[in-house]
Amino acid sequence: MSEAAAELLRVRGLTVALETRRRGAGRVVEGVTFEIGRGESFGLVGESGSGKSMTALAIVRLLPDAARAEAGQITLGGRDVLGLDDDEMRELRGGQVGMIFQQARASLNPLMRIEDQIVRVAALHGRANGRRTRGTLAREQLREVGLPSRVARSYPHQLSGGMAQRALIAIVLAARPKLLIADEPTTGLDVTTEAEIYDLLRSLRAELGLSLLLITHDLALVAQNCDRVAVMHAGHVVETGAVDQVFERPLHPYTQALLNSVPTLEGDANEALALEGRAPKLDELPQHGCRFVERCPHRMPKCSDPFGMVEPEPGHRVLCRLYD
Amino acid sequence: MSIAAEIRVRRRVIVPSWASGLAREHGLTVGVGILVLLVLAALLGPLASGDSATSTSYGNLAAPSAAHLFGTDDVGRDVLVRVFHAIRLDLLLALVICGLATVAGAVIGLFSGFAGGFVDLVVMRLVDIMMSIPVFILALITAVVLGNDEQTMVLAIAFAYTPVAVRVVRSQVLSLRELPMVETSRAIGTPAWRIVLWHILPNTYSVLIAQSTLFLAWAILDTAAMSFLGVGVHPPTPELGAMISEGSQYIVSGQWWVSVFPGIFIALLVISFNLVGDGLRDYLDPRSRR
Repeated sequence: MSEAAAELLRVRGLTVALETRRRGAGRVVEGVTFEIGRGESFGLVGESGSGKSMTALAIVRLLPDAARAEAGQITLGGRDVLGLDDDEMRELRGGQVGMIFQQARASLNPLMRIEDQIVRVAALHGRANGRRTRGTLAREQLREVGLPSRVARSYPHQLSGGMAQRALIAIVLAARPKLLIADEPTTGLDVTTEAEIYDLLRSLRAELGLSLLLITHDLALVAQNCDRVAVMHAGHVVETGAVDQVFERPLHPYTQALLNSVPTLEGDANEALALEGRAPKLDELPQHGCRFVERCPHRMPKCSDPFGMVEPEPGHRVLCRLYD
Repeated sequence: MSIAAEIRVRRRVIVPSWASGLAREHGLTVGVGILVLLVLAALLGPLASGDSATSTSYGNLAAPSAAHLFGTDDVGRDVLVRVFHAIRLDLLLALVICGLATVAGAVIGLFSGFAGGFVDLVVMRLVDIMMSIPVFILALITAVVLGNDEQTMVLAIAFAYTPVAVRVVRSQVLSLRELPMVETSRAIGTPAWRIVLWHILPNTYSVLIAQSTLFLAWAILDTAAMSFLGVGVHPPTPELGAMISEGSQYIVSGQWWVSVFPGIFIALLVISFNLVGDGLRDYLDPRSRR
């Protein structure tokens, strides 16, 4: 992804402002920057409310009414996402980027056979031409995600959780997107099914050259399934780099605390450290500087001044004054 | 205990198990059966008997007999023949009323629920205003104000039912539009109007159909009630409510058949529509299909 041509998604300085009635306005995503190469798997990790889902929704421009992309630039397949008109945006959705959520079954239309849902998506993106019949198209699509062809005639309620998630992936991929955004795709599935879904995503990347943006709070999943990772905290990307860089040499105190909180098989379970305090709420976000400062063991006066990311080793960037 | 289980247990206490079983398992069959018989009677009865509904040549207030199974009324018309004609008219009026109210309610409800915001607010306040007046009173006043004939009555009743359908559809739309289904669909580039047509509207059908069969039952009752009061259908056109009204003065003097037979058929129509409505709602939901 060092070459610009291999780059599929580029997010530069994305800032999303959220306006709420009870807690006022605040920037739930601030200055988020990362890029995803073609065929690459990128993980976005962070705790609940850290802004990872907001970032994903901003990429497909489906932010809730109360939120607004205030600043920054998103380029997907060479096109400026925030500058597109509604028709161009609709083409981009599905054609360039598809999104799957947790609770796959609730993402499917309960009254429509899987086959019809696949064919309609394909038709929307001009893939259901007369050459192939509806049935063939649906079966091909299902084979791609490892489902038997009888699923084509099924209704969503007849599928298990894992099958529903596969069917959803088949439907989304029927539009032939180049980037798949998966927002906690296996929450609510057991670990065996979870592993199968990730195996599937891996093989789809290999076969179709699909890029993956995986949003999760599960560090182990990112370690197993992603090439690079960005760690989010309170709307900032605090650290980003290749998975082995970030997990083996975490630089940001938040990443370090996060990795320390994972109990290991060898160590004493009680040694797994919980982080003191909690992430700041919307109305508690500092105007400048580090948003982790309240909980940080290394805080310094200069942490509250405005500053940017530094790159202590190639490809490994961190938002912390310790590495100035 | 789950709510559903509790309801089942409670129902068993009130209704004998065979009866609740019949209602649950065979409600649709029984309802459709009664309805088919009534429709056949309405369509074929007048043809088979060959008698005129307004012919007065059968002798006044004759008791039910082999010649006139339901007897004759005060001017010597055959009650059975008039009941056949009346069922036909009442079914037709009910279908038109139900169709108008259901379609209008679905369109307005979909629009209001999906648009949300200010549009929704205005629509719902109008609905509230209309619903603060009892349905029958609203229909009656509208019909009386706009003109005292059949078409006006049909429009007035449909108008009075529309806010009910709007509410049912809108509430369904509000919960449906928050489903991940809609967001996933938007994220894949489906235009809004297709989302409404493909994903929202079909998922309102089960409640909409249950509501529209209720409308049929209501419409039978309200048409009869308005004609009973002399609004809408006028004598000598045979209509069940108008017939009850004509016969009501003779009940005290013992000639019960003039109003009781039309009354029985109103009850049969309403019961069959209710059974069909309940049955259809269960049947049309693929999640409850075995």
